[in-house]
Amino acid sequence: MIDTTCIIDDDPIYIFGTKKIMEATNFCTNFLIYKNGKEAVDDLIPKILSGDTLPDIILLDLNMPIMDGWQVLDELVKVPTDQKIRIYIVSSSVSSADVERAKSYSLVSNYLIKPFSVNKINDLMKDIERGRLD
Amino acid sequence: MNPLEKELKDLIKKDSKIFNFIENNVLDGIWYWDIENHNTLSGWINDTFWKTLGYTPNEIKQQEISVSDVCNADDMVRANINFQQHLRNLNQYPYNENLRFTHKEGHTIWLNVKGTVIYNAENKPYRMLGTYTSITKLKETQAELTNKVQYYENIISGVGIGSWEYNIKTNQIKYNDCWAQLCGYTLKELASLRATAWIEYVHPDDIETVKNAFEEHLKGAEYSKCEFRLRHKKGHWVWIVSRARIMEYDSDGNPELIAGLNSDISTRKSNEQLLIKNSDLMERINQEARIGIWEVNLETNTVNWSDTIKELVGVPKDYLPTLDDVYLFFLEGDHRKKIISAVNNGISAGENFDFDALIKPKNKSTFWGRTIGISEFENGQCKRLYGFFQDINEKTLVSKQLLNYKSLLERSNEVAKIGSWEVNPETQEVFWSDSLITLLAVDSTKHYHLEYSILTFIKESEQEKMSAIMNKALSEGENFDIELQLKVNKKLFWARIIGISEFKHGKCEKLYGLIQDIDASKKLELELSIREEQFRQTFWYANIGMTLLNLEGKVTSANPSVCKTFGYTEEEILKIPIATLSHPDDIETSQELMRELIEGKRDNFQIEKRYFHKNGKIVWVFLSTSSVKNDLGKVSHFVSQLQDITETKKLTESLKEHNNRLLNFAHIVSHNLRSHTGNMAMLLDINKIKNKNVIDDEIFQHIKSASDNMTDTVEYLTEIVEINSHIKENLEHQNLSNCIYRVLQNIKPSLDLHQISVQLKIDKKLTVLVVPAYLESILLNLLTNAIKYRSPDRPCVIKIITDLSEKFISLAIIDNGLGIDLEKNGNRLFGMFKTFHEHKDARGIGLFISKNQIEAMDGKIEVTSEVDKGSTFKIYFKYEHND
Repeated sequence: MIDTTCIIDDDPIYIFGTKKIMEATNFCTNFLIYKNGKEAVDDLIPKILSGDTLPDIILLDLNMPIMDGWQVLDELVKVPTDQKIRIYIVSSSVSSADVERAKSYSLVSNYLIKPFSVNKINDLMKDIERGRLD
Repeated sequence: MNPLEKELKDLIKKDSKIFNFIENNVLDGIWYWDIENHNTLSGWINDTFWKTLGYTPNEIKQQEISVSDVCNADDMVRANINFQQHLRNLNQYPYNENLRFTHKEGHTIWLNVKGTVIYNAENKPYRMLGTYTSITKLKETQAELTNKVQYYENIISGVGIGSWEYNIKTNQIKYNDCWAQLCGYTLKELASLRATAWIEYVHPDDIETVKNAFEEHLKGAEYSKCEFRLRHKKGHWVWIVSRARIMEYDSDGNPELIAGLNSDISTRKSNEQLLIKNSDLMERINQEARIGIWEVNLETNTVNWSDTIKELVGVPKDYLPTLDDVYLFFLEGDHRKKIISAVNNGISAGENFDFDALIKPKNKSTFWGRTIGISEFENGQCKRLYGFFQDINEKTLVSKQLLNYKSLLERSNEVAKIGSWEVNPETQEVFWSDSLITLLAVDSTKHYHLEYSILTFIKESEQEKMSAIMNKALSEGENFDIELQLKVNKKLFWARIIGISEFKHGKCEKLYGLIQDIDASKKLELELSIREEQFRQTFWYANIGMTLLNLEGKVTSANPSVCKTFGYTEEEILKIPIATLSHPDDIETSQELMRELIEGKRDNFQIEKRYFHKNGKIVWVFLSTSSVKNDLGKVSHFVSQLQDITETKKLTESLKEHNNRLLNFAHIVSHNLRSHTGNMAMLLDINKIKNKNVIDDEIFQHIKSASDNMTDTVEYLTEIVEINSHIKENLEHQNLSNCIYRVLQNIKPSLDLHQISVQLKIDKKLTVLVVPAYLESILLNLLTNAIKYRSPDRPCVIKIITDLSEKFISLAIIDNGLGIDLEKNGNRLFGMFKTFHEHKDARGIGLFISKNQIEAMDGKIEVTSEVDKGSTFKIYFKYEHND
């Protein structure tokens, strides 16, 4: 059980579904939602800089209007912080090129392929617990 | 100091007149004599005097030589007499003598001595002061002049020149003997001859010439100079050259006395024409033959050489040799002895000579020279020695070369397979040369008759023609040069026959000629002409465009195909620089390639490029240009092949475009559709968790199954799209056998369950270049298919066989299952979502994906099948040599 999950995605069905599954599986109940990359960057960066409590994980979509997932990553990389930020790329793209590119960012913990399912939530939980032990 | 010297100096100081005298007269020296005691020899003379005579002052003192010792005795007497007269009357007899003195070395020195007497206080002569100056040179010149005058006088009469003087006023004319002799008269006979009369002796045609010459002289010409004819006493004409000059003028400035010289030039005149011709000829001959002319002047002992000789012996043109010098040019020993004795004999005995000797020129190597000498001997005395000199080295060389050429000719005849023949016009017998005998492989002892020869050695079809040609040569003297086939030992070979008929007085005196074996070259020539024709045919009728280019890369010939491709006529194409037809984007590449071809950096090039058709449209052309080398290996021209690939290119372009569109479509499907199907599946998942009872609802079940199917479909589509991208980076070498075992291990439970026996015939060493995951997926797919579609009627047996061929490694999976009706389904077998069996797991996607994966790895898959017998799937992997 984690405290807060941040979802950056322009697909409301996905957001709705993800929230429901996470709640149903008791994965998480607090959500921070941004409908595109720019919204996320504008709100998250000041928070990081001011030392506010950050969400436990950030689920980042790649294909978004205004500012896409790559641009968000590029902005976050620039921010100096000691806090551990866990970012998961969640995309419907199965392109190996995208997977490779995502892995090139040290910020990115893993690459998940949509859609979310109960099984994937369980995998994610295990992954986070492993991360906590590290 | 001599007391007199001192006294003189004192005197000069006292009397300025003395000083003036000395100043005016002193040239070389000065003397001062004591005449008081009547001793003309006691006196002082300065040292220069002695120097002039070659003595040093010391010698004089030591040897006590006095002036009288060195003075000519005769002159001394005369000088003394004159001195006495001078003493008597100073003014009337100035003392001025030219005296001879003897030089220390014995020759005579002329001195001009002047003096004046000096009186003492009692007005008595007591001293004589004098000067002297050397006049030797002057004297010598005078003597020479006298000699010369005498010399010329002698010459004038000696060489037969007539001299004359004509006084215009008195009409008196004087002749010398020679003048008279010129015309065959004596002086006496001519005594009465007057000027008006002599003109009568002049040839009427020349009178004008003589008068004109005189007029010219009056007008200012230096001489009156002319050549004319005088009538000899005997009646014939004598050619005279005359040169006259006005010698004196009267007080009014009119000419008074004319003098002239005449000489007989008849011989010269008659020789003149000949000479002009000869000298020209001579000059040319001399130049060609390298013949020089020489002459020895026996009086001066000098030698005249012509320029040719000087050139031959390597001396400058101004070189003047003496006779002794000449000898030195002959090689020491016998050669030099030869010339010396020849010259001596020529001079002493008037013997002519002609010999060869080795000549050693200056700074050149020795050569053989021929010297011819002619002695002009008259009255027991040699007057002149002259002759020729010739470099005969070259001649010797040429004759040697000639010998070489002869043997060379003989040898080259043999090599060139040339034989000569001769026909006797009378007997019609044919004579063969040795090389011809060899050439025709005939019996050398026999002489053949012409007709027989033709019948034996000429190809049947040509015999008639040959006979006609021979007849024409014999009867009309017509030469011939033909090429025809000869038969020797039943074999035919090409020969060139040349015949020369010596035809005189309407009759052939001799018919001869050559036969040359030209078989090889003729055959080559024929073959060449066939090839040429073939090339011409190809060139003109080929569907592919062809052009010939010269070494500068300019088109010299273009075939109709090229013209069609570009829409121009050949004439137009040859005129237009091909570069202007080229698409600007391609021009740089193609010109660079052409440059490399011209520079020999490459032998050919191929390029796809664009040109503009005459109508402006772009024509895609596959251009292949090669250099063509001649038999010497040098590039003679270039050949271009131009294939119009516009249509192919268009097709490829549209295919590419089509493919891209398809790929885009696949991407859209795989990515965009995925998010929707994903959402749908997710929502259904949530619903399942939340409303447990919904699971039993039939509609929900159907929605769930539709969503799952759609998710799967999208999954496969995505997979297919992925297969084709990034294939290259993921290729690895894999051991085929290991792979098969791995897959068999995976499906072991299934094999065991259905009691399937697997028979392997696998080469364990085979390695294939594949994407490992694909290979595994393909094997798994094919094997599970074999299990899935096994026959219920018999135990399932699966055979796996590998094989290696030239290009491929093949893997066959053979089952004894249900089989597929290929006639019905063959073309759809590997399509998407095709199923051919009523099987619960048949999805119709497996083979489609497998085929795609195999082809992405450059392999192929084949199937043979018979319904209810079984199927064989054979996969071919590209054979990668294990390197």
